[in-house]
Amino acid sequence: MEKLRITVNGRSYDVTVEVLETDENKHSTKKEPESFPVQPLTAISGGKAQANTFKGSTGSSSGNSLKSSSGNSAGKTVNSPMPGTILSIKVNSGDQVKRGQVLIILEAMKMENELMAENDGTIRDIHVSPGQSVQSGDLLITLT
Amino acid sequence: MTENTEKQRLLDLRRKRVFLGGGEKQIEKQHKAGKLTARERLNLLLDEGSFVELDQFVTHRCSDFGMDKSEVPGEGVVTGYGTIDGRLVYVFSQDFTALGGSLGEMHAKKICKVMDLALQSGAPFIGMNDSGGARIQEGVDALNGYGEIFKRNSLASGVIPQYSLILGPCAGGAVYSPALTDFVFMVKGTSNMFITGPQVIKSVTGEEVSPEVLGGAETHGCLSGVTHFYADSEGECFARFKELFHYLPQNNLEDPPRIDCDDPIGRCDDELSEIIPCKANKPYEVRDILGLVLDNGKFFEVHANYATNIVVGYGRLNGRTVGIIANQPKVLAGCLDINASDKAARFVRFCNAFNIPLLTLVDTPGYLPGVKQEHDGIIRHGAKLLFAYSEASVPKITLILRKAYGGAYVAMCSRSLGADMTLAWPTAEVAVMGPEGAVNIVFRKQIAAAPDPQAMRTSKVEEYCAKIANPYVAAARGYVDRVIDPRETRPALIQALEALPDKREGRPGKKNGNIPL
Repeated sequence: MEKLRITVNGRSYDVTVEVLETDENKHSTKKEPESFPVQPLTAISGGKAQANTFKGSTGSSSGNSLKSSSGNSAGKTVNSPMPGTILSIKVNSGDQVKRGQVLIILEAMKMENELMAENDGTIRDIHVSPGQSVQSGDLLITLT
Repeated sequence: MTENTEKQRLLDLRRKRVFLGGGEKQIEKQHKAGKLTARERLNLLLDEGSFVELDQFVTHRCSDFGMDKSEVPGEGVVTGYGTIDGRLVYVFSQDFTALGGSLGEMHAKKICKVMDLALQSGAPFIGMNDSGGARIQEGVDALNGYGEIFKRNSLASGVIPQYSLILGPCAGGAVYSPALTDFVFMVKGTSNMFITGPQVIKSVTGEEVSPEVLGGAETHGCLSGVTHFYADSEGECFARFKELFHYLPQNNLEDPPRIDCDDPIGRCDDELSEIIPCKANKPYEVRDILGLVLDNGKFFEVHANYATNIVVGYGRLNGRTVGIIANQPKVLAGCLDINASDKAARFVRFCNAFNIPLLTLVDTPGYLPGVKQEHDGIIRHGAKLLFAYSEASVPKITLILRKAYGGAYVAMCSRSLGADMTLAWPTAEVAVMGPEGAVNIVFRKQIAAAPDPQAMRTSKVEEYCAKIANPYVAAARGYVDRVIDPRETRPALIQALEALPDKREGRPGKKNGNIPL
């Protein structure tokens, strides 16, 4: 496996190259070809570490699904994805938060759902309090 | 110089002109926009030196609006065939440098020719889209070109896998060819897909929106579900495409490629016992289970950012490709909703068409309640999942992890819909509804009449859990074949898969079923 940087018309690309010695190797091997230039987001390799990588990557993806804000303000608000009750609020006004960080626990469908930050930011306003019932789409938190 | 060598020289000249597409200035523009050219893309996608070009010298025959004086080398699209890791594929790559990659009569004919060859020879078809749209000067001939492509996309559907890599603009009618294919890839910042662009929207409805927000990679990857994958660069896009490609067969008569498995098939994992939280109201990450069970923990997710309350994708068990559908308790409590039903149903149908066994992991409290869901047609959309699973004749293995309630239990590939092997963890709860809801209905009068309703409710919930909310009632009827120790999940799934190697299941002949679209 070799790492190379190639420049095509002034644009550089980082590629990983697997050297295949014979034609036989190239076509008849039943091994999975593993030499992709870029590590895909969801691919994981090797025992426990994989499961960990998974955990790391889930914050952002589930965060996206909770996107109910529209247009240019995407990422600036956190809205309730479904009707339920606010169980607890994990942040305070003025807190710096990272993408994927848990902001609110919403109890809905008999499950404690973690609502996460879609992007890095600062908590500007918290519009709800624990115990409050919310409807789908209700504004919960505004970020700046 | 003999006459023959002179002819060869002229051939070289003609080729060189075609190779340059719209010319060096346009190529420079293309690179400045952060995009590769049609031919650079083919070089990156295909095995080195494997590309064979067809229809190099095709030209348009339009003479209106000054087109008689306009030369479009290659007609704005490069077509042909080549190999990816030794496997044959047919491909087109639109050339934005040549008249904006616009689609006219002959441009479409070039694409149709390779589509026909791909279908006839049972090889996957890959489209790389980068086009300004219909060539307006060619009028109805351009429209006919789109129609011819759509028809072929539809006829090839379920016979050969079709992939669309959107690497530039793809607007108007052009979007429907990718939409008809099996998998769509996009690149952040450079690819856009929309029926009507920002300018038309502004003039008609007054809404102002940027192309990226309207139809960029993230929009279609997270909100609309139009694209299955999106990447930061064209290089990453090709890498992810190739990874997907390795899981899938060449055509519907072939099994998916099987590879040697170096992960022990009897591998048990203690960590699996710890994944389901003790309390039923705690969420967990269902992909952690896949990471512990599949060969080398590798799971390749499809639609990773769309309808994330259900997880779909590919993995391998003992070297065989399986298509995985799993409820995600971490998102929307693992409820099925409109988008999740659509996403899973489409995935199931692709797998069935291409002989990919289905593995379903169940932990869902039911369909998502809400006025919006009902008004948007959850009945119609939810039914798609039932239809897709019932229709599928590939091996179907279901593993119930925790909640399997009501209609959602039936929908998630239950024995009733034709699961061949149904396994359950001891934590499984197969019931019409969850304990609290059920007790409130069944014992409403007793609870109301009791001196301490709360205590009465709690005791009835406990009674219900012991009697109903477990896998053993379903197992007693044979709806669950095996209740397994979670640690033995990998060997149990592999055994189930190996017990269904050449499954054949007949279906009545028909023109087409009527899936509730």
